[in-house]
Amino acid sequence: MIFLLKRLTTRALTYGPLSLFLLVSLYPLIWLLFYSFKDNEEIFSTNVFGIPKHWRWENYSNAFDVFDIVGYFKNSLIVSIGTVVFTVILALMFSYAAARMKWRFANASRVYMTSGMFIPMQIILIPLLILERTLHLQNSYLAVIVPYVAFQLSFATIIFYAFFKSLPYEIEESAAIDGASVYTIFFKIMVPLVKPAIASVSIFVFLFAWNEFLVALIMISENTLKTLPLGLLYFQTQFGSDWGAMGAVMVISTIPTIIVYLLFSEQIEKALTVSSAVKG
Amino acid sequence: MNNKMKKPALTLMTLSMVALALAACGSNNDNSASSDPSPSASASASASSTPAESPAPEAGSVKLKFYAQYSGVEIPVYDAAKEAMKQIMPEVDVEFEVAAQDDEQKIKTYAAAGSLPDIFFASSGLIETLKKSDNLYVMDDIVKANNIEALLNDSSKPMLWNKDGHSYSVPNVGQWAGIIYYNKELFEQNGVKVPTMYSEMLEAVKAFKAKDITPLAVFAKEKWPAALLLDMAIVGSGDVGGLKKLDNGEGNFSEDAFVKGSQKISELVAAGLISKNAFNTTADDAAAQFASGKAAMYVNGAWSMANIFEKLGDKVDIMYTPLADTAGSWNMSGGGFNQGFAVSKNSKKAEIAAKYAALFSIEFAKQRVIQLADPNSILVEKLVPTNGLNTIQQKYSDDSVNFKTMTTFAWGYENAKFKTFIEDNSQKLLSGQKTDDFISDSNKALETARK
Repeated sequence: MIFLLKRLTTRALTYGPLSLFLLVSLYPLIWLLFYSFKDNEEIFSTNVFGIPKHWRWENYSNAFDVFDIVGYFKNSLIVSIGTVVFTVILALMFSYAAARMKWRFANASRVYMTSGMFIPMQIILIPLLILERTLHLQNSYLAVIVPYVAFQLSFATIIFYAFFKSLPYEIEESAAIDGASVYTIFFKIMVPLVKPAIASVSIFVFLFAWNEFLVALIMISENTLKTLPLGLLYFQTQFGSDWGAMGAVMVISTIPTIIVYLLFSEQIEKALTVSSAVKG
Repeated sequence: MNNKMKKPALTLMTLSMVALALAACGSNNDNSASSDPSPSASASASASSTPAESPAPEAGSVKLKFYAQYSGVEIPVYDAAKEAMKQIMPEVDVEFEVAAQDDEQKIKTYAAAGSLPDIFFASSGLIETLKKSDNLYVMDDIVKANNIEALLNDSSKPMLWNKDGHSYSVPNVGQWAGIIYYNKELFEQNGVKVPTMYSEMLEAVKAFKAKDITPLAVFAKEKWPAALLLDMAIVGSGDVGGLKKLDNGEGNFSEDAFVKGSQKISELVAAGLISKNAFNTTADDAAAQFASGKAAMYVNGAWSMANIFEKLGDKVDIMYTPLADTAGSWNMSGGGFNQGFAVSKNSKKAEIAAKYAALFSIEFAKQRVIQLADPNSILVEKLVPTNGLNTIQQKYSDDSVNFKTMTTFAWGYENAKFKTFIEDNSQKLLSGQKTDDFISDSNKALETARK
């Protein structure tokens, strides 16, 4: 009896906090789902946290009827994937050059690149707008992709630099002895070794680009180029908003980020074991 | 090329093509205001003066960017006005861009970078800012040439002109008053007298507080409702100029009405006027609290009547001046000002855009009455709302002829420094700041704002 009691206590002590953690972690998503089926009264006053009293499926039909969700979704995908591709490629090449090659300004360039993390977006908006207008980039996908890449390069560079630094030089030496060129070493040996880092960076950069609002708001005016966060403005009027319909759009727009995370999460875990690439 | 180089080179080529494709997909193909003026556009510009000599402009040949609150219930109003404008100026085609609720950040950034849309909605505060930076097209000639003033009713005519004597936009809505909505059912159930003056308001606040009902739902996450309440209290204490008078450069906070008004707010706050969460409460949140019966009263502009009636029906009614010293005052807070659809001075088709904006404002005002049952028309023309007026809209429509004076809403203040500090200080007062401190702080800030 005492043994059973002890076992139950141990289980409760183990699973209790874990269940609480699970609930705290998952509830925001569940709450978002609930709120996408409510109206403003339920969301703000009568039923803030509970299950919808009346399931308002019309919020979802509004999301598709009133709101060009397919168009905004497509734009968000193009912008986010474009940002990820360019950021990863540029950051990978720069980090490799800064971490593994010997050249005069390697360290200074790295510090310069990472210093971009300390520049707030708001203060560069006006010069950025003038620059984009001059370069005829305004109202194109590149109008947001280019600044997004520029802002994310600092972060991506830090991650990749740390990974490249941690790899043993013997890998490249062996490849060079076997006759591999710099490009072969980079693309065929080093890049595969930092795949976990690429996955991590891709997730963060994708989430950033998917959710970003301010730069997109200023740089994009064409309705056909607007991303999902901009599209949500359709539900905001001067003196009120349809929060239920906005919730429905947010639920739909959350799906890709969850998919991206599920696809790459395993790679992130592997990031911790990258130093075991070469044994002995 | 050797084999070792082939793959990296191919990868780079592919990426370059992706980049080019993206750039091409998103390239700005619109031939709107930024493009060179077309012959037909030029023709249309001069059409009014010499119609017989000019060829008829091609329909939709002049494309203009129109940045406005094209969302929610106003979408049909904009669409109908645009449709009506096709009969008046068929050569013009406008593309609406949805304005963000971003405290005018986007439009100000555009102005700073010299990229304003052809037509955009401008509040009077924004008009003052853009006037200084020489970004606004002066519409005086357009207003006169199209006889716009004759289309407006007497109370709306002053809104056509800025205090400097020029017109920068044709108003598209009327002079809304600041209103306190109340839940009739809650007042009856709790045996509380509907306040007609300050002393009764104080009693009502105490009574609802004692019953654990929020007396007044205020969305103090936004700053203007606090300024509106203070303005109501000042106007109700004997100075009909309210905060607008200070914005105009007259008076200070030490005057009797200002001290008394501030004391009224302090006293009401101490009695439990607002909820603890008022400063985290958005407009939707406050409206939801009021609609669900958790708050007895709700402060907002008269423009919310349709929305609130939709939620509460006959349970809701309106009161105008419950912060006045005596009952029956018709000196109002709120109001209207020279704001509406403005035009960028740098637009390549500024003259056409100005004519379009001016006439569009009139069509917009018509459609607001017809489609949204706006009881506060700016027009001489008598229009009938499709669905008629609801009870409180009818009451407002009947009562509005009695309004003696009006002030303005916070976004109507023209001194940007004054607007900033009065919004901040009103919030402090609403959060429980002592009256003496409020008066002293505000007088200091007023001096700085007027330098």
